[in-house]
Amino acid sequence: MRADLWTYRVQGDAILSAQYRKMASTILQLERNSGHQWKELRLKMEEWPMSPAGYEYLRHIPFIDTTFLVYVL
Amino acid sequence: MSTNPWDHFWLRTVPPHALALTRIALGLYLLVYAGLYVPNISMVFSKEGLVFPLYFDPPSVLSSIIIYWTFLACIIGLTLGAFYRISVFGTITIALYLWQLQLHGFPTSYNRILLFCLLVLLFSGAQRTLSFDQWRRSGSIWHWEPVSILPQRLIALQITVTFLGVSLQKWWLPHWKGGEILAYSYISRWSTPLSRWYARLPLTLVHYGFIVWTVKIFQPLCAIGIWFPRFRLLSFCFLSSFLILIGAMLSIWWFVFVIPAFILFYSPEDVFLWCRVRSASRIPEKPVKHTK
Repeated sequence: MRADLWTYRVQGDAILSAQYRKMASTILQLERNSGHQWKELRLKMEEWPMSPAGYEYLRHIPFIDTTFLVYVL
Repeated sequence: MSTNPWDHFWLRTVPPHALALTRIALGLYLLVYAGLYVPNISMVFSKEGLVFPLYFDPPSVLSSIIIYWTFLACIIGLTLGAFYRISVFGTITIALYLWQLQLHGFPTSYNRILLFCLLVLLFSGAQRTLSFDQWRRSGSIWHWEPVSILPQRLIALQITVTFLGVSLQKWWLPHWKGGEILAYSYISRWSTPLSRWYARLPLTLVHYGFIVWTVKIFQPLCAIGIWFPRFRLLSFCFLSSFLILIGAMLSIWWFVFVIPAFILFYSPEDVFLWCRVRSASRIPEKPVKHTK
């Protein structure tokens, strides 16, 4: 999945936000269709420092910088 | 043969073997590229998955599978030179459809070069030898019919312009003044086990800066030099090494299809002779006259 949504990111925050909302709604529906009774879903973007030890090596608190994207029911 | 140098360079009639070899290599590359999506067709290209179409709504799971296998069949047709124009047209059309469904979200300059190459190959006559269609036309895949050199020149020119464009970008952008961008790239999300190992070596930014400046200087020189016989092999080796390394070190492997296309910088007559020698003279010296 292209989580950055570059095509919509360049069209402005309103369109990007709408697409993230659509993404969240789709994920929620797909999970419910699979039998998982999810009540809500939050999308957030995590950023962390690069490390020669590996892509996710520093993906731990306190290195993670989190940006809230959307919340759907 | 025209005596006008311009016409001789751009428009003369030549054997099709360089284009045919490029067609086969490009087809094999596309099969690998498209094949990687096969396990996830429903998730990536159907309405049951996470799809963000630009224009047309995503199809059902069954339709997406049918469309994708048709796409693969078209690519096989392109590779084998079977029902060539239909196959290439189908490849282009379905590729554009899949792009607007999902792949637009990933900035991909290689998709634009691929599209250009496919559009040129569509009318190039690349199926005029080493193909199923030639076997149908004259009874042997080794037979050949002459084609215009123009498609070959257009693709070669596009490759040169691409390398010059990315070189200009490196000279223009402030991030490319030193080695930091390369050092960071080797530990970014584009990194590979090989690049992360390289990043852990006790190397200074001077080392990375040297690599960046080597690329900045030699990439545009080789993009031009590959047109000249004296510098062709050197340029071929440098540019091929560059493309292999960005695949191995930065996960950007999609440009490897350019490497076999470097054959288009050679004279088609030389490529023909090279192929003829290696085919144990199964390739006839003269073009076949029988056509349907």
